[in-house]
Parts: sequence; structure tokens; C-alpha cells
Amino acid sequence: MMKMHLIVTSLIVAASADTVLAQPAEPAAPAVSPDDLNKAADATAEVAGVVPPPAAPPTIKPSSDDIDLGALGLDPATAAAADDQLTVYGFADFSYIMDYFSNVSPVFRDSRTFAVGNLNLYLAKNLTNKARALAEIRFTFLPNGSRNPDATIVDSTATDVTNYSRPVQWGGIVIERAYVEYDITDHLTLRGGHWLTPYGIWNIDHGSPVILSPIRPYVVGQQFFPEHQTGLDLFGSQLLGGVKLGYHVTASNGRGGAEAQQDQDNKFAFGGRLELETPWGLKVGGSYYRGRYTGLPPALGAAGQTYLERAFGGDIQFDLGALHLQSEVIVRDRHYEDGMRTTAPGGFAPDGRDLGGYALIGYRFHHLWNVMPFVYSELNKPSDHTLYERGIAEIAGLNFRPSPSLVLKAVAVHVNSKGTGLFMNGVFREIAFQASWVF
Amino acid sequence: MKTHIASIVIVLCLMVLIRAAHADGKKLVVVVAKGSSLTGISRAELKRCFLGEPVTGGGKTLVPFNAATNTADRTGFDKAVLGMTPDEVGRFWVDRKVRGQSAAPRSLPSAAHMAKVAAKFPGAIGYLPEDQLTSDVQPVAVDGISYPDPHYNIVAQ
Repeated sequence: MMKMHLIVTSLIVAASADTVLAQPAEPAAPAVSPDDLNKAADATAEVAGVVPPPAAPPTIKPSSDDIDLGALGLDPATAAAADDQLTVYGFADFSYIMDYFSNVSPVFRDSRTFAVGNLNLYLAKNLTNKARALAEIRFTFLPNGSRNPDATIVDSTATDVTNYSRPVQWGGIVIERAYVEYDITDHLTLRGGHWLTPYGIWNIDHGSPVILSPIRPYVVGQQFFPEHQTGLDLFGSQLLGGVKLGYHVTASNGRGGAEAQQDQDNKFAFGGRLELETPWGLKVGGSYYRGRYTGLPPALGAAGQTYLERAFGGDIQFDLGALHLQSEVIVRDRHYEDGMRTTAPGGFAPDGRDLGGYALIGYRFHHLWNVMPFVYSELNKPSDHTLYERGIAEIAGLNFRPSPSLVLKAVAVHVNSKGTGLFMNGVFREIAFQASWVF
Repeated sequence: MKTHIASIVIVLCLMVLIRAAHADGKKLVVVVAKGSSLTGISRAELKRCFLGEPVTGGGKTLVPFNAATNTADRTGFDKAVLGMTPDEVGRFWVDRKVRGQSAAPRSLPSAAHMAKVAAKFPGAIGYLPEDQLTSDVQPVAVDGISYPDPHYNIVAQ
């Protein structure tokens, strides 16, 4: 009997403690509520082998009338979309880069420098439940300090009349993206404007916070596919038995001397992408692009450089827990038509095929600022052998993510160039550090 | 007498600990508005929905709503459905923003807000601790398992 008393007492006190712990924000409840007493009685009855009467179903009340959905911007009567506010955000990065060349020349010279590479601002807004707009603008200190094709250097230094005509170096902007898109169905969206070409992995993922290394692989930077295009992108995805099939079909001005605002040759470029994403972390994609490049005419009435180009590439990405693998291979063919071949050092520019790729492996730990050690290897075979015929690079680095919005990177690069060219059989080494952040 | 007092203290401590652990492990019930034709959803679709991809249910495009970050409900749901820790979830959404993709689902400050939004906002889907269910929301089975089932494993952490 004494033990029974102890059990009942324990239950009552324990239930009371739980009530207090679970509802700290509410007014103090009675030390022992009727509900607790019922539970204690049930437990007592169970111990004593007595079957309790069936409990009445709990009374479930409707949701609170005190909450104003309008105040949350979620008034069902007026809300056009779950979130129709203008969203402003962006990313930036700051680097320290040390370059060393084995074959030092006026073109290739050792350097050590700090650099602010990207300051990108995004403006995003849901226009309706089915339409959205996005603009991404990169603010840059360029073109100051950049080299012209004739080897002269751009100097944008100006005198600032608001500051006693003291010198100021002005910069420019790059419109990375500016488009509007509309969901035709759940599986088909039409995007129009200036967008990043949907190919590979690190062209769409071009923001420095999402790229593991301070600098993208050489083949991605080479733009065998155009980095941006201006035109239409019809895209979507479908689930097929747990596997997600994504697709893009694009039509654009193609690459050119003023591709964002004028198609120099009045010929559209076409492209597309197919990708499969499995539930177990594997993504495989293939992309294609075909178009004509036409440069700006050097003089009124003159013909600009023009050639046909075709690019295709494959990419694969695999995530298994903290393990990350990714690889891209890209090929670009360039073809000049008869009579349209441009001059190049040593004669006329040949038709040719550029090829490049990389393979990367990394592992994200949950400690040391979520560090991810990674290594990757690159191969680059340009059709133009002015510099070299084949470049092979090995890269090792660390990517720290102390918080989702802050990324710290350190990387060591070793490149060997093979074959003939200005940088034949040379070695290039780079050590780079970068902090990138999202705001 | 001392033995009895010690027994009482030990039993009390154990009971409080067990109850507290149980409170943290409350089942999180996926809910939509009462009367919706959506009564069940696969875990894969639920995951896609809460990862910002368009998912249709009950004849409407579902609009997901999350519990506030760093709450037991949010951590438990993200772990059970998305398979991600809070850090991983943070990285996922930041990376999506940088890609220019859709932003994270709206977070609501309390279970009461979640219940109200799920009941009233067209196409809303959210989750509530089982003891916070209201009469104007409708539980949704996940992979055919309803929340009273002992195998239902979406729980707060």
C-alpha cells in the first residue's frame, strides 16, 4: 500500500513538473491539474488491475481568432502570392592571390595582390503567383586597369569635382541577369531576358559563396558555352518514379559583340539541357549549344569577325552525406566559313576544337567551421596553341563555412603546360585565399 | 525512512526526465486546411515541397510554411523530412539564393500562427505538434502513415 502511495505521488508530481516545463510562457497553472489527476488515477488503476472507463476524446478548438493574417502579409483575400515583397540581397568576395610563373615574361610575371572580385546585388520579386523577376548586377572596379586588345591599359582615373578635383578611379557594372519568368504549368516555365546559360554546374552556380575554390575551373571560365545569353529559356522538371528529369530549351541572340541588345547577324542560337536527379544524390546532365558568333564591325560598313560554334558538355555530381563529387567536361568546335576566316598570328585562324574538364572530390566535416578539404584536377586542350597545347592542373584546398552566409577558402594550384607556345613546358603556381559572404 | 525518501527522489527524477524527453519528441503532424482533398503525401513530395519545388496537392499548388528557426519543431521536421541539420539547411537556402532560385518557405512565429495559416491560406501546408492541432486543420498522412501510428517518425527534437 505504501508503494502504491509512492507511485501515485510520483506520477502527480512528475506530471505537474512537466506542465510547468512545457508551458513556461503561460500563466502559472495549478500545481495539480484535473488532467494530471486523471492520468494519475489511470496509472493507479493500471497498477491495481482496474480497467478505467474510456476517456472522452479531447476537445480540439479552432485556430486562434487573435492572429491577424493580414499583418503577416498572408491575408487570403488579398495576398497575390505567398511573398510578393521586393527582396534585395547579394554577395561579395575579397581575395589575396599570389602567382608564380616558371617562364617569366612581360605577359607572365609573378604577382601578389589583394582583390575585390565580386560585389553582386540581387533584386527579386514575385510579380504574381506565377510570374517572377530577377536582376543580378555586379558592381566592379573594371574597366580600370584592364588591358585592351592592342596591349594598352585602360585608365579610368578622373578628377572629382566634388572633392577639389582630386583623382578618383571609377568603375562599371555588369548586368549578370535580368529576366522575367512565367510558370505556364507546374512543369514548364518560360523565362525571357538576359540569363545565365543553363549548362554544367558552376555556370549557374557562379556566385563565389557556392564555389568551393576561390576561382572557378579554367574550362568554366573559358566560356566554351556563352556565360550569358539574351533571349528565351523554356524550362521545367518532371518526376518520373522518384527520378527528377529537368530540361531547358533556349533560343537567343547567341554570342556576339553586343549580344545583350543586338543580334549582329540576325541568326538565333539554339541550345538545350537535360538533367537527371536521383533521390540518392546523383545528378547527371548534358548540355548543347549551337550558334554564330559575330563581333562588332571594326568600322562602319565593314564586316565583323564571324564563325559558327557548337558546344556540348556533360556533368555529374554525387552527394553521399558529407562526401561530394563533381565533374564537368566541355567541348567547343569553331568553324569559319569560306572567305570569312579571320587573321591570326602566323596566318589565318584555323577551325578547331577546344576541350576541357575537371573532376573534384571533397568532404564536409561538421567541425572546424564545417571545413571541406577538396582536391581536383583539370585538363585543358585549347585549339589555339599560341600559349600552349595542353594544360594540366592539380588543385588542393580548404573551404570553411563558419556560418551559412560566410565562406573562407584557401587553395594551392599547380599547372603544367605542355607542347609548343609562348608558355610551353611552363609551370604556374598560385596560392589564393578568399572570404566571400552573402548579405 | 531514508531509503523511502531516496526512492521517492529517484522515482521523481526519472519520471521528470522521461516526461521531459517525451515532450521534446512530440510528433509533428503535417496539416492542411480542413476539407482539403489532400489526405496523404509521400515523404519525397513533402521534401520537394519544403525544398522550394512546385508540388501540387488537393488540386492546388502547395505553399509550404515552416516553424521558426532554432525551434524543436523546425529542427525535428528538417531532420526527418529534409534529412538536414540546421547548418545544412542554412547553407542550402543561402546557396539557392545565390543561384537566383526561390527563397525558403516562410517561417511562422508560433504553432498558433501555423494552425491559423494552414487553416486559412489557400494551398498552405505546414506542421504542428500533435497537441496543438486545431479543429480547422486536417492531418495529412505521410507515406500512408497517419500520426497516431507508432511508426510515424516526424518528431520534434
